[in-house]
Amino acid sequence: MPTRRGFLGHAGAAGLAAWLATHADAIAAAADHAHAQSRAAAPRLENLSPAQARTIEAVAARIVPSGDDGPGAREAGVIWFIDRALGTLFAGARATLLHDLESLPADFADHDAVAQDAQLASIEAGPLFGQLHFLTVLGLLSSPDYGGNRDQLGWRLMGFEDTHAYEPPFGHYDRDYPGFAPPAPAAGSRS
Amino acid sequence: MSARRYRDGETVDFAVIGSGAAGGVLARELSQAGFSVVLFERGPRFTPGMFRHDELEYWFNYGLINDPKDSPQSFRGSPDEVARPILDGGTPPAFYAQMVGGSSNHFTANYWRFHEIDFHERSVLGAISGTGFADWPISYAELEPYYTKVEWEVGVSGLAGASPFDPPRSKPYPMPPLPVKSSGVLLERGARQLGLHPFPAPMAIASTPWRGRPACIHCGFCMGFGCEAMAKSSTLYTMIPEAEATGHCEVRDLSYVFRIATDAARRATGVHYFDAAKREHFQKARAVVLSANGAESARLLLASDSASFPHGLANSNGLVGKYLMFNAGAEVLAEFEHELNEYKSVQVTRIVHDFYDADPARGFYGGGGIDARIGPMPIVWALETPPGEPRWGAGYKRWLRSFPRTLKAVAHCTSLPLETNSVSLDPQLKDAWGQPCIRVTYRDHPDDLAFAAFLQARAEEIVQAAGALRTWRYPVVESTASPHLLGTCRMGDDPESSVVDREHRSHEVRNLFICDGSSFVTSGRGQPTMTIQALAFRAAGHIGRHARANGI
Repeated sequence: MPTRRGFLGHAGAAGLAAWLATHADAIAAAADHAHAQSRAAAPRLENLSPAQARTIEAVAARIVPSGDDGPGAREAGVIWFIDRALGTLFAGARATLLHDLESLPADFADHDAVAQDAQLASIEAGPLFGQLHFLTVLGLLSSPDYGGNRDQLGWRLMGFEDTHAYEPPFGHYDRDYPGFAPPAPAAGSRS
Repeated sequence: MSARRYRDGETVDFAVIGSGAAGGVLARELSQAGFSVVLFERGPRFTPGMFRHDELEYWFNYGLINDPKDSPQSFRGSPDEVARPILDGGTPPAFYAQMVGGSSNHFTANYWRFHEIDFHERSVLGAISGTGFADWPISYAELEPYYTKVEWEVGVSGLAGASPFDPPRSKPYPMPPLPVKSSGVLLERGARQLGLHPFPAPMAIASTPWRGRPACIHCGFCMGFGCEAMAKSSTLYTMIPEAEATGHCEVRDLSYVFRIATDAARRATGVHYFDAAKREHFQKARAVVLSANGAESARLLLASDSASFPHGLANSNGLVGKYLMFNAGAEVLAEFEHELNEYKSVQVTRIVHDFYDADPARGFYGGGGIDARIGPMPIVWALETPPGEPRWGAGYKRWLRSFPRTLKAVAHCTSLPLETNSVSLDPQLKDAWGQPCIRVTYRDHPDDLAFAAFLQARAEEIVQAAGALRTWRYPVVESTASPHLLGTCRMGDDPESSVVDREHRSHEVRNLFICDGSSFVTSGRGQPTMTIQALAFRAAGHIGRHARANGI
């Protein structure tokens, strides 16, 4: 989320004075609210035991690993999203997930990456992996307000940003676009 | 805003049920004609600042759409199956934005006019066995002035004359096309390479300031999101404020109409509804206009049964809810060398209509259009791993990183009208108000899937011709859910084979009019809202004429 100042600065630069005159307060208030939430005190586990959290975080870290190509699910704080979501949005899935989690070795987090990957490969088709994959992706890429995607790390990994307003060119291929030239009529064009 | 308030005991001219693409137009037209109108909306009213860039809330927590936690639905593939309930966590088979402005808030805003062929395709191609394939009772020429009205009064950006396939038009677009994106440039490049005729997409999004609204700020949160900039031409920002400004229209939000009342003379007398506190009310009206969408309009008719209408209102022939059409579709993911950044701006800037018409030589029925876009935003994009790509590990992470260099080429296609595809009342499920829930029965006709696969292959050829490094075809699968809710109260001249006449009056109840996606006879090519609104403008003229002539 952009800060209030950052947002106003960007929007102003984009020449959106008329729009801002009517909507800046509402948008900025929403952005500030979201920002305050994500600045809340250091989180603590609410719906997972430390052991459960350790296992889930280890799985998440194999789904989107850290490496030479940059940080992954662990650094993005995906586990904090998952912990919170299992008490809120996905509270209904908590009991089954924690039951299924017991099918992984209690010391899963202490295994090396090769062993962990072999274990995950063996459960990839099952519901536990599907659920953990789903929650990992959500924790990586949902708004930081929900506890994951720390410092927008998930968004940055993907090359996504949310700055509320853009101006063309948007990408490489529309940079030197010469403008639309109507084609010759289609042969046998109908209606 | 000089919005009028009416009392329940006061008889208004019109109770309009549903404030979406059609209901917003009807309320505006009827109130501008001087009639008193209460516009009923089950959902809340958002102000622009309430719309958020929150993919989790809007795509996974029913932030804008109907929520199975209070209104579950059920689904089955065919009538001989027992439908399974779709509860919290599932996608409702018939989904729509439940709020003032309805799905015109969260839609993608592709505004294709139907072509002339859409209205008389049955006559041209002949019958298709096992289907309800039929001509419309109206022609493109009859609807053309109302398409123009939508473009100018609701607000559509586009370029007249850019497509050799476009039907005749009486006026150019009021606003130029939105700025082209990289996906548009590539679609155009690839299509031209293949001798096709790409053109700027008509979109119901302001490209310049228009009728008091600002131009699009290209924020990117468009499909599935509401517009905080007021640039998307939803009825929330266009028709509804204009209706209220007449002083004759009250928008009654958080008001859930659960029954249309009729008397012994088989006339509608008003609507029963719940307020936000679930208290029952009755609003008297001289006539009822039903525009709740192709699923909810059918449900309300079926739930409004009585001694005079034992099978549901306006349903003596049993056709209410039948011939549901979703619009089939298919997608191709394509990766390019450089960044496209498709997450910016509107979804679609170029389209291809070269495969719009059906071609019997293919061996199956179908027609459609192709566009290029990002599709859903990061979460859904990351969950929709294409065939052959890893779902985890270093390979998955590499694939995630390709996000800014990808586009989705989407094939938008026909669905044949089948009597077995339907909205009906689930025999068991009740919603949080004790009302019967929607049961959707749906299985794509084999031709729908065959054509979707055909058009997907054309889309793939286009992105390959544009220089894609890699492409993936997502599997073409049977539909289980859609926001395109069409055909369930089809229009026709024959009361035996249709629910409403060519003026949207129900064949059985003189002062009950039904106008929304349910009126469609055939599906069009996958972008229905433009036609829903043109029908609504046209219907409003007829309804007003009847009302003035004491004909309701």
